[in-house]
Amino acid sequence: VSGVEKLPELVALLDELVPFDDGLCPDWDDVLARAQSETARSRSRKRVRWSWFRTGLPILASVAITVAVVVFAIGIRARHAQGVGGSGRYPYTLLDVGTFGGPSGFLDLPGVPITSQGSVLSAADTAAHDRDYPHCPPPGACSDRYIQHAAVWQDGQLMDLGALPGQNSSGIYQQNSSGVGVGASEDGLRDPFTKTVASVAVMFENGKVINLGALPGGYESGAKNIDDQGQVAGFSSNGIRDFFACYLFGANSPCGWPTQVRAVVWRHGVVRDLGTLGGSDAIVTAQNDRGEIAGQSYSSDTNLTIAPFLWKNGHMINLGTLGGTSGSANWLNDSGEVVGQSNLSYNSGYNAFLWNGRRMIDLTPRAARASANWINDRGDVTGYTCATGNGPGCTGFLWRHGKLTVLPIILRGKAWASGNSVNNLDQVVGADYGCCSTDDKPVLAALWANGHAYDLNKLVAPSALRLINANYIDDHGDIVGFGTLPNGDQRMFLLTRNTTVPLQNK
Amino acid sequence: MEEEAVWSAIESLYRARFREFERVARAITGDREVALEAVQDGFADALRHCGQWAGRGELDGWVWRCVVNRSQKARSRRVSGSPVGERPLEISKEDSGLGVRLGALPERQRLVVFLRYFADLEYREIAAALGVETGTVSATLHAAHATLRAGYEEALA
Repeated sequence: VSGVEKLPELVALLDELVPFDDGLCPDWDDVLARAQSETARSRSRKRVRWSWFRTGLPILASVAITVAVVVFAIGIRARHAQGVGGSGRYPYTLLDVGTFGGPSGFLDLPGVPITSQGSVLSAADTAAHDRDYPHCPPPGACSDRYIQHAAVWQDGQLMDLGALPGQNSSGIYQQNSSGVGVGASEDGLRDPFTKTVASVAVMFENGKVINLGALPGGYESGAKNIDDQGQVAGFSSNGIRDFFACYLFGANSPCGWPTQVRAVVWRHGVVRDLGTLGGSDAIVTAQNDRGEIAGQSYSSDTNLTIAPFLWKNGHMINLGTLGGTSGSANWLNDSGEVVGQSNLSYNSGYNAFLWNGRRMIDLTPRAARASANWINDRGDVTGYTCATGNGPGCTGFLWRHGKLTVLPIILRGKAWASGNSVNNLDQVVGADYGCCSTDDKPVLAALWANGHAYDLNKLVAPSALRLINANYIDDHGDIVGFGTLPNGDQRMFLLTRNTTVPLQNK
Repeated sequence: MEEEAVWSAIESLYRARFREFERVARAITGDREVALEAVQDGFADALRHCGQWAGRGELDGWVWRCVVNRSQKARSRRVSGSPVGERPLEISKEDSGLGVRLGALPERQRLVVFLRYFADLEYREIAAALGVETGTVSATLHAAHATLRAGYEEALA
């Protein structure tokens, strides 16, 4: 019945009479406080009404209620601590990956957070406070005020991969099929350029945290990927003054990194500068199983033009742009196809592109702005596309066989959506955003499959953890993302597909 | 469904669809601040009395019922001396014949219109929210449309 039997003229009138309000949603805690307050008032009224009843029964009742509340609270806590949110009746079983005693868990992206062994990679808060907060590397990039450690969840256990010696945070981006992981760790040294504690690329191997170091003169580096041959791709500073490097990390990245940054690979512990497209800086986004690397580089320091690149066979190939002055790569598949976004001219918005090995293809020629976030090994692409230059009107898309399909938004109103990852079954995961800009936070984790949109919160047994963003889906249909608890803490989740239960919103 | 799960589902509904609840409440009460209060009080009611729901029907519809009830109560307090249902949405668009007719609709018809147009609820959800049969919703919306359409065509004639 939904969507029919509305008078168009009445829709317009009602929109005018009672316009949609973009105001902030009052905090949920206010609702809880009202409920508790009203309950207390109600109890008070009852006590007056039954004041003649002077036995110890009211006290016992209060005690019983208190005990029930405590047991209930403990039950929630215990149930949550176990991370159990699954039921055989639901298409997915929810697992809260957990933490090391701190409040939150995080996902380091871009990367593949589920390994071939079914492990889940994350960074989890410890109970220890971060003395460097809020001056984390790169400057201002603290997730919260706790020390975090790279973590691997496997077979019901969250394993702490540790960090370099000292009170240091670490994170993990990827693990290869041999179980060797790469990421970054604070090393306890102070970077004289950024004036904050430094963070360097590390390898997690056989229980050890191995410092991969940085380019000569540099204090900072990070490892993004490792392939099955052990080639590690990442970035490093080199100590040469340069104030434009930070822009390569993306519009939302904190600046304050005053030296050049370079795309690098480590092989057998030796770091190699991959060079640039002509400018001073380059960074790595992703690496495929063939050791090919995608990223972006300044192509000119004079004009500050940026272009995506593919590094293969020892050479950095300039993939060009869609006609504009800036483009960046978001992902590449095992065929070496690269996706990302590029502007069409100096002052235009960004469109989603696919570099198919021969040329750049504009996937969203009619969009005001768009981005391609992921490409699977079949060459199918997901991302988002917007009808306007800013504000709402964005939807996720799946581009397949030359045709772009818009993915429906689950939330109504001024919400927008984005596809983050697509598997080889053309199942897409992403998020709905409440309103209205691309800087907004996600509010609902979504799955698009077989032409339908699903709120992932409705595909799992009810849980205190609200799933707000789904970042990756593998070919088993298992999903990794993050959600929030009622108190605002963030948690990583793993959704395991129950194939006996068909996809259907509960 | 366990109480814990119900609370969680109610919270999820609040976070996902607050703006629609607020819009319907604003249409009923005619005041944004009053509407905000009504929505929060409605959700608080839903939490406090979730045992009464006990899995009967759809939870969403039941929460809508709590919010609509709170909104109606808030409006009756706000429009002192006016019984609930007589002065609905405060329509001041005097140049809009459709608006005037909307304001003159019977209470139930107006609520069905609000829930259908502002919250995009399906008939069974509206039925749960108002405590009526699905067929009643269909007939009520049909009647509201007929009244409004007649007014619209009259204005064009």
